[in-house]
Amino acid sequence: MVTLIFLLILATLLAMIKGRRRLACWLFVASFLATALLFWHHATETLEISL
Amino acid sequence: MPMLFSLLAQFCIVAVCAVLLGAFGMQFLASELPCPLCILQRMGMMLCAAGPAWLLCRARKGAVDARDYAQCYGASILSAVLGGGIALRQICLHIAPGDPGYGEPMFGFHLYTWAFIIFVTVIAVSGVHLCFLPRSPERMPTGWSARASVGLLVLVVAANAVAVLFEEGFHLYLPDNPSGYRLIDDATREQKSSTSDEVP
Repeated sequence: MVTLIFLLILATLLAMIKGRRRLACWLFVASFLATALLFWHHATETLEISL
Repeated sequence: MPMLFSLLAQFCIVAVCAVLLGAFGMQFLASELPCPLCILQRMGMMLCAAGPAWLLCRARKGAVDARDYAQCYGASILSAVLGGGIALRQICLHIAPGDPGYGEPMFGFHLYTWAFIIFVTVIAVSGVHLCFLPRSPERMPTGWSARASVGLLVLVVAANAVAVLFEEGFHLYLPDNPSGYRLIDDATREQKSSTSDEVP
């Protein structure tokens, strides 16, 4: 999942470089939402790290 | 003014890349594996840097107007709000007195505290930038340094994608407290089990 989000960000940057405005915009929104959803997942479950 | 805007956008990208490379250095030199929240903060920083990178890419194609600036720095501010929330969540996890925190502190603060400071700075810089939008479309100089800064960001994102693939393996999520590279561990375990099956 994390690797896929990194690939999504990479695709966003490549779309920006290629000048594909609309595609870059949609990919940015998708990356943002995927990051927010992953944060939601990790924020709502207890992190079992040594405090 | 366009030259100053171009330099500021490049500085934003290079500064974020430097922080990401520093975190990368801590991961490999100090063998400090990033936790899921650390990885999420890295993503937030990359999305923050994508705003100025987008502006430079648009400037390469022609004149940029106030709408272009607003879209690119608006994207940066949104990403910084998300990243700041993630960093704040991790600060709150370790805020209890006597808590040693996650990982080793750097210059007196833990990496997630530095991340929060960086996200707040991104919001402030983007806000200042948006106060000085051009009244009419103007050409922004984009030389080799602009191309190099965007290229550096692409390389940093690609390197992080490879590193996180090794850490996550073919699992859905990262472990809460990572202790090794799961892709290598899984492969080694599989190899061991196949060799033990062969022995009569």
